Formats: sequence, structure tokens, C-alpha cells
Amino acid sequence: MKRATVTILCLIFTVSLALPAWGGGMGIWGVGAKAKGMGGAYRAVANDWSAAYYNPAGLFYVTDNQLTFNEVITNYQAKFSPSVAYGDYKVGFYEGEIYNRYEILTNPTLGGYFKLPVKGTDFVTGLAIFQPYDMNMSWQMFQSLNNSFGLPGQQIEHNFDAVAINWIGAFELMENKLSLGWSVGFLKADLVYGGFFLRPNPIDPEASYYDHVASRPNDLITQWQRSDGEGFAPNLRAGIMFKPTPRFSLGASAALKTTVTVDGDALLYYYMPDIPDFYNVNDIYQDSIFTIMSSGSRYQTETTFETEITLPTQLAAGVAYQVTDKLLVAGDMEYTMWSDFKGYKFEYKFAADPITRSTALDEWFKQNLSVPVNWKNTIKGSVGLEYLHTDVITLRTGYSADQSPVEVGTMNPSFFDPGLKHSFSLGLGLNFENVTLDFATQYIKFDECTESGNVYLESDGQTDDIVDNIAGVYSGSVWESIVQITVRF
Amino acid sequence: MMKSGYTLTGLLVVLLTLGVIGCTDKTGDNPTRAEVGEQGLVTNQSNHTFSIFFSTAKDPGFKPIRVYLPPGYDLSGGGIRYPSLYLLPPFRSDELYYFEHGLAAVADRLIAEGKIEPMIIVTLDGRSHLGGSFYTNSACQGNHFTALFTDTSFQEYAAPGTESLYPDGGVLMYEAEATITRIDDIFRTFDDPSRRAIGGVGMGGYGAFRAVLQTDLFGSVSAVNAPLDFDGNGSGGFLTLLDEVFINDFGAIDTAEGDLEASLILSASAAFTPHIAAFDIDSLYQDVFGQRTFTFSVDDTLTDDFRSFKAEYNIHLPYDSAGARHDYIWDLWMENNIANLYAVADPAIAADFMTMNKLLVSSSDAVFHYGEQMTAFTGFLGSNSMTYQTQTFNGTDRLSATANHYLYDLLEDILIFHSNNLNPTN
Repeated sequence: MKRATVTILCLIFTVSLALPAWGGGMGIWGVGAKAKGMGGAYRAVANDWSAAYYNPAGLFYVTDNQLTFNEVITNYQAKFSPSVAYGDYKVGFYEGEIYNRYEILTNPTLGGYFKLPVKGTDFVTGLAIFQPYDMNMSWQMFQSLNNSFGLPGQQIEHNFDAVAINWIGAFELMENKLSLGWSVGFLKADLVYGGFFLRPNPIDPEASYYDHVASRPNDLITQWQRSDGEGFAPNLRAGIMFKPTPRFSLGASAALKTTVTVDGDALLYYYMPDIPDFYNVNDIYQDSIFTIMSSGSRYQTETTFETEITLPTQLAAGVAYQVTDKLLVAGDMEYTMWSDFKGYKFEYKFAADPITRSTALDEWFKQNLSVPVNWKNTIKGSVGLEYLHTDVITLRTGYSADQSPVEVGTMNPSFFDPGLKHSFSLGLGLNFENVTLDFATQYIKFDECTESGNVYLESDGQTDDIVDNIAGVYSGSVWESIVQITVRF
Repeated sequence: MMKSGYTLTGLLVVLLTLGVIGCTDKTGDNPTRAEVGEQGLVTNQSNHTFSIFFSTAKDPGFKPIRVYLPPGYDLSGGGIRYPSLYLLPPFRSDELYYFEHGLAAVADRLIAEGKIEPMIIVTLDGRSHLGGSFYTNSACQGNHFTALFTDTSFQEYAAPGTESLYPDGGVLMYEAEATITRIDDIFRTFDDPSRRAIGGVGMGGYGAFRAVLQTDLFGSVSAVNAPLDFDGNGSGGFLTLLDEVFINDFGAIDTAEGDLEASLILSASAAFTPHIAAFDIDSLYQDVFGQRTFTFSVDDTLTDDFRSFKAEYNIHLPYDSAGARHDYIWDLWMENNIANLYAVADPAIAADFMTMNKLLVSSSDAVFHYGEQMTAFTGFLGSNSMTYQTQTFNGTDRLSATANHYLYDLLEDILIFHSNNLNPTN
């Protein structure tokens, strides 16, 4: 008998833009205490509100109404020991172990869904808001050798959030066996990127004063920029769930590639070489190249920017098996096409006026900057189990291994994802009549990775003569704890 | 039920403990921006300008000097004494050369880090009207060496017909304190060779080695990419450079200031083989002051007649108009070669030179083929069992390995070397 109901599911999440759940590449490590307690192996399970992320097809089998409050506490401890040299020479990076900015990030989330019985066809529909991408990384690691001005507090600041606001739905193709689901809408992306660039001194090597103003350490000029903007893009996910037997289920989902154009405001600082002896002798005109290139000044300009960000296609599949009435085991595989993500190319819209008082070097000052990456596609595998210890207590545990999309030789602390990530999770569920309390703790360990040498990557087929990787030893870990309360009615 | 309660409690404690452990702040030991430490004082030329006296009036009479005083130097007149280091600049460079490449900041940092002893560092203007003095005494360019290192008095004859204007029948007597003496008088240095060092880049390195072989003022010496072996083991060094400069037409040598190699050859000729004979001779390069009028001819009869003469701006080049080496002139150059200066040095000075600590820094991209000279000179030191140490440096794909490009980095090694060798004798 067909279900003569139309179920409207309203999944409402309040998502802080600082959702601290950065995962592989710029993806998150999943949502929901139950799913995370099982290591994220949830695509063939997907039996709560988190199905909107893992597998929309699972929504069809959710039988009751739920209201959920979720608090996530995260601290990620990325560690980096720079060993940067241009040839045999240091360029100003700190020496020793550096941890990223210390933050205890919290993200409260409120969600739920309820059914409105309406006579009609067999499908469920609703609204979902969730955050599939997040990156949050801040560092202090550099001091210019030739300018006394310090870089701003967060020398490297990379905060990328993408929130999906999707219409979701699911329908059944075969009763109690096969369902399809969709999650369609738009993505709102917010980007804050602050970072420093070591740019070659623009003075012509044939100029008579070249050795005076462009020898070490003035062969490189530090420029820092911070871009803050937002943009929108379409977002499409789909899923399928197949239950060949009551104990065995298979799930698969896909998220399609999308490109978002982010635009907003940019602030740029230029740290010019400080050569007082040359400056004092040659300071004839404030507008002269001599003055600009030896005064030790920090020039500043504000402008607007635009950049395109391509977010990848992701394919995932999972299996789940109810071994006994108490024990459920599950496994997932994800394939993410991170090779589609090319980093950022900031195209500034400078005003016509020169940034300094001279037009002589204005073209150099008004050069666009890019943070290109050379990422590869990744595979993530997860396994998890759930055990009903008693009617009240449910235990969960899981493990996942997630490849890094970053090619060795192209690593940069602003896109911190070195090596293979091993994730271990423990979860606990307390089931009462109409209320469930779920807890999960997850520890993610990055394999240590050593980066050496200097690499110039292309952006749109061109290089900008700026080294794009930062050599050193990368390692780190993430701790995440989740508390979730669900009321069923 | 009780058992489930204990289990639950235990699990909650474990989860909470893990969560707390994972939230510890580990940034406390992060390295931070270096604080600007105590800085030394750099005296500028308006306060400390010393004259370098010339026997001719071809160069300005006053050559500026720049002095770095270490942090804590008591300007009120009291306080301790400090060892001193003289750094001679290369061709076409003045007293600002080392400071433009970060000398003060590097010295401040190394003193703060305890890597070098606080010291007084003296730099000066090594230029001549043709580009570089090579720190010699030259009738064409003036007595740079004497002015720097030797307290002296000397006489000069007034121009014919003007004798009556001067006392003593036209004989002019001059007395001058050497720069090094003036420095010792004004600043609290040690008048002790073991507490005084000298070094240089390029032409300055040559001057430093010349100074340690012709004086007993210094206890250690360094040179970066310097002309220390003129013929580079017989067929290189300056000979290679001369071939390049005279490659097309001896008479069409480009003497504009933009031609660096030609200017260097002219300066070296002015330093080593000025015209001091009282007769017109061939193989002569005439440079009328303020003009650029050049004529050449060849004379194989030039003798070493060093009759006192107030020379004009005449110099002898070591090549003739056929592009062949002029052996007599070249031999005069080679008398100024470091190996020859060692051979003719005072025996006590020569003995000190044998065991004196020497630092030779070289690179493959050295200008003027100085790299060949450095290699040859290292061989000379080695074959004579002299004390020395060598160091090389490399460039990058963007910046070639010249001393100018990497002096900022080399200064750390140079200062540490000399600091390690500025040993008190008591």
C-alpha cells in the first residue's frame, strides 16, 4: 500500500560561520553526534536529520518527528616547523615549532524535522541548511628581514565557510527496499584570506643602483593582503538507499562540482626595503624610485577583489549490516575530486591613482596576487559500529582514514592538510522515552609530512614569480567533542 | 542498574577527559617577532671626517669615514676599550657600502646573540677619480695607503717658478697622521695588532692583504672575491680580464664609466703603473682631468726612472696596441701581487703572515674573474703551509653569487671570524 502522505521535513540549523569541523581539503568531517561517533560511516544508515548531508535517500525511512540541539567543541592543533631558504639563505621565517592560533571553537546547532500528513504521493520533502565546507587556519611565522614594520597579528588567516541551503526530498521506488533522495539549493560562501607574499624586487637588474637596493635581503619585498568577501553558487546532492534485506542496507550519494565567485574588500600592505644610508644620500624627491625602494615605508591601499572558487564533485557509498539486534556495523568510502579546486586568484580593482606618490612602479604595486594549489583527488574510508549496550545506553566507535589532497612539494600552512589523516571516535548515546542524549569525541591525527624546496605554481597557466609552497615539517591533530540532545515527538 | 550507572559514569568521565586534554593551549612556546635590541651608534661623516692627503690634487682632499660603535659605548669619554675591525670597500664604493648592506643591523644582532665580541668597525671611501685606489700609493691617484696606515711626513717641490711663494725655497713639508692613528686617538680602541683586524670585498680585500703585508697593525685578515693573485696561476685573473677589455681594438677601449671592466683596468693601472718618468713615452694613456682624451702608442724602452716628478694623469697599460701583453708594465703590476709583497716583506711581518688567521670567501660568479684569483691564491697559501680558511657561497636562480648581492649574509661570517681572532695579548 502506498503511503498516502506527503511528509514535509523542515530541517532547521543555526550554523555559526565558524563551524569548527574542517576536514579533508576544505571539507568537513561530517555532522551529527551519532554519525561522528561511528567515524562518519553513515551513508547506509542515515536515519536522522544528518541524512541531509550523508544521504538524502535515508530521509524516507525516518518515522518520527525530531527536534535536536547540538553543541560542537573543537580545538585543532596544527604544528609547523618552517625550514624555508631561497638558495642557501634565510628569508625571515621563524625557527622552531609553531602552533596555529589557539582557539576553542564552539558551534551550537538547533535542528529538527516534523511531518505534516498530507494526502498525496509517496515522497518526503523539506528544507536543510548545513555547512559542507570549512577551513579555519591562522598563523604567525614571519618577520621581514628588511623592514621594521611587523606584519598584522594574524599573518596568515584563512577562513572559508560554505553553507548550503537546500530543498531536500526523498521518495520510495520499491517499498521498504529502495529510495532516492535529493538535496538541491544554493551555497553561500564566505572567504577571509590574509597572507604574505615574498615578491621579487622589481628594479631592473641593469640599473646602476640595482646592487644598492636589490641585493640581499632586499631582493625580496614583503607584501601582505587580506581579502574578505562572499558569494553564491548552486548546490546539488543526490542519494540512493537500497535495503536488500531488513538487516542489510547500501547507500550512495553524490555532490556535484560547483563554482562560486567571491567578491568583497581587500586591504594590501607593501613593506619596502629599509636602506637608510642609501635613502639619506639619494632622497631627492619623495616620489623617486630611490625613495620608494629604500625608505623602509609601509604603503597601504584598500580596494575590492574577486576570485572564483571551484568546489569538487564528491562520490560516496556505504554499507551497513545489523549483525545482531544490538550490533550494527557500517562502512563508507568517499571519493572527492579535489583536483578541481585551484586555490585563489585575487583580481583587484585598483583605483586609477598610484598607490605611492610615484607612477614609476605602479604596475608592480597593482599586480594581482594568487594562492594557487595543485591538489589531487582523494579517497576516504570509514568504518563504524553501534552497540545497544542496554535499552538506555548505546555505544559507538569508528575509524576513518582520509587522504590529503595536497601534493607533496606544494604545501602551504594556509591550506593545512598534510599527510594521511587518521580519525578515531568514541560515542555514547543515552536513550530515554522521548529524549536521546548523544556524546561523541573524535581525535584526528595528521601524519607528519616534510616539505622541502621552493615551488612556483601556475594560476590560469601563468606563474607570478612568487614561491607558493612553504618548506618545513607539518603535523597536527584535531580534538572534537559533540553533545547532542534530541527530542522525539 | 547499578552496574549500568557505573558504566555510564565511567564512559562520561572518559569522554570529558579526552575532550579537556584535546583543548590545551600549545602556543605558549611559539617563536615570536624578535625584539629590537640595543643598537650601536653609527657616526657619520659630519662628525668624523678624515683627510687623506694626496701628493697631487687629483682627488678631493677629504675622504669620509664611517664608524660603528657597539651598543654600550660610552660617548662621555669613559668606559672600556674595544677591539677594532677595518672593512675596506670594493671598486667604486664608499664608506656607506657596508652599511647599505646591513652592517649595523647585523653587528647589533650578533652582539646581542653573543656570537661576536662588541667591536668598533671602521669603513671608508676607497674610490679614486678613476673608480678605485687599490689602497696603494700612486703618483696618479694619491697616497691612499700611507694616508690610511702610516703616520708620515713628506716633502714636495713647488711648481717651477713659484718657489718664492713658499718657505724653505719651494720645498713643501707635510705631516699627516694615518687614519688608523686618528681612529685610535678619537675612539677607545686597542693599539695592539692582536685586537685589530682588517678585511675587504674585492679591491678592498686586496687592500686588506696589502695592509697586513706592509704593516704590523693587524692580527687577522679576510677577503671576499678579491684580486689576490693577479695572473691566476699564470694565465688567468687579470690577464683574462685584460683580454676581454682589449679584445677588439686596443685603441678603441671604451673608457666610459659605464664600462666597469675597462674602468677597473684603468684604475689598477693608475694604482700600479702610473707614469712617473719625466719624458714622453709610448704605451701611455693620458687622461686629462675632467676630460676624456686618450692616446696610445707603444714604447719598449720604458725604464724605471723614478725621478721625483709631479705627475699628471698619465698611466701605463699592460697591453700594447697589438693586443699583446706589455711585459715590462705587467711585471710592474706583478710587483704589487700579494705573493710578491709577501716575498719582499719585512721578515717579521712575513713570519706573522704565515700564521695569521686568514679567511677567504669566494663564489663562482665573482666579478672581474676574481674567482680565478682566489683559487690561485688559495693554492699559494696551501703550498706555503700558511694558516687560512676558505668559504664559498652560492647564488640563486634570481640573484647571481656576487659579493654585492650576498654581503648581508657574508657579513655574519666575516664578523664572527674576526671576533674569534681578536684575541687579547694579555
